[in-house]
Amino acid sequence: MRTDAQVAAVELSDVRFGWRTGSSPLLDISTIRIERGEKVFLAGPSGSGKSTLLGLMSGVLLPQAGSVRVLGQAWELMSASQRDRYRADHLGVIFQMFNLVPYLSVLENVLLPLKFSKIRLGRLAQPEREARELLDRLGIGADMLGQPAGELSVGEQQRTAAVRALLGQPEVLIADEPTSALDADNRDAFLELLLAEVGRSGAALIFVSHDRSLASRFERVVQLADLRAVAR
Amino acid sequence: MISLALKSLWFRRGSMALTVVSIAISVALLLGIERVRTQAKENFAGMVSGTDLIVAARGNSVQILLASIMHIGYPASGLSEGAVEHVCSNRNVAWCIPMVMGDSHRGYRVVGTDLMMFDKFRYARNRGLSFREGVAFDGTRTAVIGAQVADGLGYRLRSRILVTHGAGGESLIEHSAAPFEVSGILAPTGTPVDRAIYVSLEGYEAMHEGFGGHENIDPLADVDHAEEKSVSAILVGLKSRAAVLGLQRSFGEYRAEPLTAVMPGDTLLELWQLTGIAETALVWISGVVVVIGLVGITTNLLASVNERRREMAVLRAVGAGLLQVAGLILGEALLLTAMGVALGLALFQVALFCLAPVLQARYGFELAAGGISPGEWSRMGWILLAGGLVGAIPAYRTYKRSLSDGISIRV
Repeated sequence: MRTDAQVAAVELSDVRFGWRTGSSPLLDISTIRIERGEKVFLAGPSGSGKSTLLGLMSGVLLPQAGSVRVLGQAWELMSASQRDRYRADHLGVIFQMFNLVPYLSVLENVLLPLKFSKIRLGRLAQPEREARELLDRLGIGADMLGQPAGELSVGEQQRTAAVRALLGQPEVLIADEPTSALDADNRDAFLELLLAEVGRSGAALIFVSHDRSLASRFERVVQLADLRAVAR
Repeated sequence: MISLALKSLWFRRGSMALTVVSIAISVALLLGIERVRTQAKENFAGMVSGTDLIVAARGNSVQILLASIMHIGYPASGLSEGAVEHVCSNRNVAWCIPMVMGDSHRGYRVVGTDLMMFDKFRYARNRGLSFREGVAFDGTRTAVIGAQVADGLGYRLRSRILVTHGAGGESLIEHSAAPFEVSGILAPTGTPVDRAIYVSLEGYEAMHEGFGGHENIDPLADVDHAEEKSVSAILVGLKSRAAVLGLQRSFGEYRAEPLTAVMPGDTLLELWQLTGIAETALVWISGVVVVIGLVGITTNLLASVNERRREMAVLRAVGAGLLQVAGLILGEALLLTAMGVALGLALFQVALFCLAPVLQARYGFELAAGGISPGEWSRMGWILLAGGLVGAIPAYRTYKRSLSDGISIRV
């Protein structure tokens, strides 16, 4: 476990990415290093390439040059199906909205990642009980578990998505504007709960938002514009 | 993954149910058309069975079959008594049914024959004729009518029949001196027997003797009469089927009179080939019906590819691979097809169960209810396979979409 501390949760080096080859790259990052358990606020105006950066970090997009590593493993060295499996095992993701599969119940949604990852399933002695506990801590009561996910309020959906992303302790949690569909009260409550649970699980959190007022709650703030400046 | 596909289909059950129903109907139609087609062929081939040879004056075998079994047209000429004797006294011959024809009654063929007809004539798989009402003809004044004649003309036992000379409906000269009385009505057979009126050979002859007085009116009467005195065709049953080829040849070589012996089974099949175009058309129609059903599935799933982008992104984000996401869509297509096939099969069986007795009773058309033939199973297998193939189209689209969308989609 000692060596784990030296391996970054997410590390990008000399990454260059553009949607069209030949045009100037959208992202040009010399280095980003996010430590294990670190909570990072990634800021940048819309259109600055935040989603693209998350795509690179989660191995959905591959850089044209450079390397993106999660827990020391480089996405670009894996095959497509290896990337899918690795993502299932080590990454939790929360989107801005529409996080849930509408035809599954709340509990089925939360348990979904365990179907794709034996590692995360293996970490839970009693998956369903632990899912219920986690849901309960995030304010999703037992009475809601059987409901179709589509019937929840937006706030409830986001909290359910957070539970799903956390269940089975993936090492990296990526949250893409998870609070921007919430009103101020819901937003603060959600952030509070999310940070607490991330703290408990020990995951690294990469939290993307255009809302700078949230930045103070994080240990570290990374400006996307700064990253590019570094490259120039 | 299958439970996921099932839940996804259930979520969209409204439009999916319609798709399943359309597949079901097309499957039921395919099976139905196929069943009717094969049964029609079997019933056609079963128009006569147990008869090993049909002997008539030399002529075209199809023409002889048409005249003697299907009651269409006439043999080229008749057989003399000597020829009948020659055929029927052969030691390999078990039984003989002589037939004389040439007259009709209101469009239905009148056939002179003997009681062997009701004893030995067989159709379908060894079924004999049976009486719905009454008994066989007796003497020269009674007649037995087929089921369709009875129903078509509203005849019952003891109705009177006036026979016309020649086969035309409106015709011509009536043997008014010799009316027949219905003594029996045959049960429906689904064969041309249903459309015939049977009288005894003697009765047939007696009718023509009474005809004498009109001879000066009909210039052709003399010629006709010469033929009518003899038998038109003989249905022959053999003691052993093995002798059939040898006898066919030996009858054909009869010196005294040119004869042709026809094997009815072969000639019926030959005739059936002539209807091949209609058969091919039916097969094509049923094929097209299934294609339409499958296009429905593809359309339905393709239409949902776009609205499900977000769902696919979520599945990808929780760890589903591209192939799993595409597999989900493919699985849905297969499930839809499978449900459609199952429902179609049920529909087909129910329809068969309800219709078969009616068709059998009313038209003598045997549909053989129950039991799915291996051919029908394989057809359903092919449909399922085709469902998988067309399902590959939306699955591939989903794959491509998901590849470019990744795990995040902006509204």
